[in-house]
Amino acid sequence: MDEKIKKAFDEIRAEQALKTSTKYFIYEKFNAPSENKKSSSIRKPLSAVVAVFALLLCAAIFTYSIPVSAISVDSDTGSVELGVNCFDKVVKVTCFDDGCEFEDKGLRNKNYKDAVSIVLENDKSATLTVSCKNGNECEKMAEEIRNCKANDDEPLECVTGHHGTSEAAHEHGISTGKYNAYLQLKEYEPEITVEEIKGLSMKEIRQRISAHCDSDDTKSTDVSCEPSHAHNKEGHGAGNGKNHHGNR
Amino acid sequence: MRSEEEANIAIEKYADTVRRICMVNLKNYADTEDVFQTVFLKYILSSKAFESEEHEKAWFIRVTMNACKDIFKSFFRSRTEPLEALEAYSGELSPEASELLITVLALPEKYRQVIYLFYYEGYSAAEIGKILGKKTNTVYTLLSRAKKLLKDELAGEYYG
Repeated sequence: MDEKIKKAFDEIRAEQALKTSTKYFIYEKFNAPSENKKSSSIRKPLSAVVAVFALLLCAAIFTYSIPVSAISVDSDTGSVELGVNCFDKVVKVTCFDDGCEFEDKGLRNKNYKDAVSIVLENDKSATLTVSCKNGNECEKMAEEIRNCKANDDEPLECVTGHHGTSEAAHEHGISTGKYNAYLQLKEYEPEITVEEIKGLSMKEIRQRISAHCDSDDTKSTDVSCEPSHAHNKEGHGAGNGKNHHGNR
Repeated sequence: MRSEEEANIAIEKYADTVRRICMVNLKNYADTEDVFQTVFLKYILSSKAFESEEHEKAWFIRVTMNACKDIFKSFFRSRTEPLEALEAYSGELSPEASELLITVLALPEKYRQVIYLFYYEGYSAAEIGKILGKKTNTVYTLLSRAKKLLKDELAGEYYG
């Protein structure tokens, strides 16, 4: 049987047309796709470049939109907080009082000094509190703000606060500056609560602090500019000149 | 990757083998053409180094079998009718060969394949097992049943 089967299959040969069409198919495969090869050789590195660029763009947008420091402007009429990014631009405006108009004043994307000037146009007696993660940056910003005086006759009151103060302030729904003032007052009035502070204006808070300072025989009622570390865990820090609590 | 020249040499050398396997598994010329293109394209793209001619031929047989399997895996493809497969062949066949091939091609696919590989290509059951991805004992069983079926069909004329 095997011989007969072998002989039968032996008669089967590939048709010449089949061989020719296969050879032509192979020829086309060899000669046609050089453009595809070129385009694929360009496409891969180009895709990589585009992907890297897109990643960098996303990173830049993300970096730009993240505030790294906050400037709290607290006046008797209300409080507003400006979130400032690493490029010194305002990227976030948070109002803590009804009727605050600063969210619509086009403060975003402005340099923080310009933004502060706009905010202080109508109320030059505000207290500014600068808080950031980096203490040196904080000092630098505070100094810059002090230099851009709203009124040459009156020095701008500007203090630095700890970054942790800012987070705690927001948890309570008040600005950093007001929370800062609350912590100062709490040292004299331990029973005072955040809810009570919310009902007080900055002027009233400062007056109460000053009253305690007076009762400690501190003659100056100025709450003047100083680098403040008073609200970190270590307690009172060194100040340049007058501090809130006078010289004990 | 192999050259065009190597591809042409391989076509001349193995086209008949590929054609026979297509005869066993497929029913129309278009499918046969597809398989030819698939197999020889794979050959060019493969950088596999063959130890010998037998090794290379076994590679072609295995790849062609798999290419045929892929074609009739499709839901819309029906199985080979022996007469259709022969009708798709445009070459010359003697009446004796034609009659025998009709009988072989009428067997179920699993028997056709082992019959071809055993009787024509001369592979052992173990080698057939490797090509078809089956156990050696399974191949023996298939061969035994295929022989019995052929014997019944051909009334013992070719049995020996």
